[in-house]
Amino acid sequence: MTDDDHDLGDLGDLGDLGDLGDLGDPGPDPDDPAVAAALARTRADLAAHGAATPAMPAGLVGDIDRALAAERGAPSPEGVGGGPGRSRRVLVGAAVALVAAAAVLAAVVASVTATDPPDAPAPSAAPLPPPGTPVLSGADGVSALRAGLGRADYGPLADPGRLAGCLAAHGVAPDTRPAGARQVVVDGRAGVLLVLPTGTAARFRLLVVDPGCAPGAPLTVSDTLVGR
Amino acid sequence: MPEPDPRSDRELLAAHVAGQAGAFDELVRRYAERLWLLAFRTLDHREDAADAVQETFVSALRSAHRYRGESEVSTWLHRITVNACLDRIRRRRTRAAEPLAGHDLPTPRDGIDDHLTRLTVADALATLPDGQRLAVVLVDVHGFSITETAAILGVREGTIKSRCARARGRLALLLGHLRPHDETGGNAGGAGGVQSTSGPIRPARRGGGP
Repeated sequence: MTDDDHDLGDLGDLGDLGDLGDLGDPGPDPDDPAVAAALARTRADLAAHGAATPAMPAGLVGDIDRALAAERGAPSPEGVGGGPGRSRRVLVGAAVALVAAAAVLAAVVASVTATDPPDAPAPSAAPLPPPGTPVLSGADGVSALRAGLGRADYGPLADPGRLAGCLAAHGVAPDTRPAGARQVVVDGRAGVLLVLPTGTAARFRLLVVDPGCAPGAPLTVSDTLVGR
Repeated sequence: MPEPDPRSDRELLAAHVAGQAGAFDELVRRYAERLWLLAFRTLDHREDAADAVQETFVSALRSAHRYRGESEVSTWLHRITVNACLDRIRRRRTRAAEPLAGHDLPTPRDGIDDHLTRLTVADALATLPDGQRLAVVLVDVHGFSITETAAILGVREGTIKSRCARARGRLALLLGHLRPHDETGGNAGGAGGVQSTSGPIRPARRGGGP
């Protein structure tokens, strides 16, 4: 086991790439004084090239911090973040989509307590959500949406059959795979946030259900489309 | 401005693995810029370079617990960055025969056939094969030793030396410090067809590289 087991597979291809350029001649004869002088000038150019340092993109360290925060599963230091290893350009796109969705989500979260149908079964006596569960409010819409994207925290719906039953109760196609799931607390009420793809980029169906959601008992907390 | 963290790279990585908050972030502060420079000079594309560096740190975070101290932390991080860059190069080649810089770059033959052409260092580097470019960038631009570069690229030191020699010869042509021997010199891509302002040129040794 070496430090670089993680990378050895990739590096194994490096020789192939490099050898594409190694099949030819050995290079100019460095013993020739004029050639040596030319090579020295070349190395000086390269050193000068190194000294002329282009500026690192502003905000790159912040982008890295956010990616690492997402990787650690913690809230990002500020603003909008993204999943591990995501492209910065994807993050920018996600930021736009999240901002666009924020206003819609705020309205959704603000209305969560009044959407149960009158004859719906009583919410289950689910255990308390685990520590660190996001507490959502209408004023924290961006974080609420981000909390679910890319996560796989299904909580009481972790069983595939139970999840499928819950999704079917909401008319979701059986082959639909959530783009994220997170146990949440919405205005003091525990639930599971399911982020469902819609087939349109940057547009999701946000479904928050009571942990007791089951076939015939959707126990919908909220259900809306977000994004453009 | 906060005081510089006095801990070594190894100490920081060990502290991170032990669960100490902020230790890995200090490594990010130390290495983000130099890794970005390496990625930028390898990929010749700012956004791709930034993506590669971000990927480097996420990958390092994931695999930090597997670090055994057999190489320097710096070498380890540079190696991950090289991998991230090579992945991008491969993807570009898979998508299309796309020039590295995202625009039309001169090929080595273009530069050598046109005796009057003098390229910028960046464009000349972009014409090199990947292995040569990485070797010469690490050694002559970033100042790594042959030993360090061999460790980063995962090849023998002799391979680094030969790649650097070929790269410098080709760059000398492209930068105008050497000129082609003559129009019929044949080997536009190598030493056999070039000469300095005076003196003989060693004949090319086709396929004889180490």
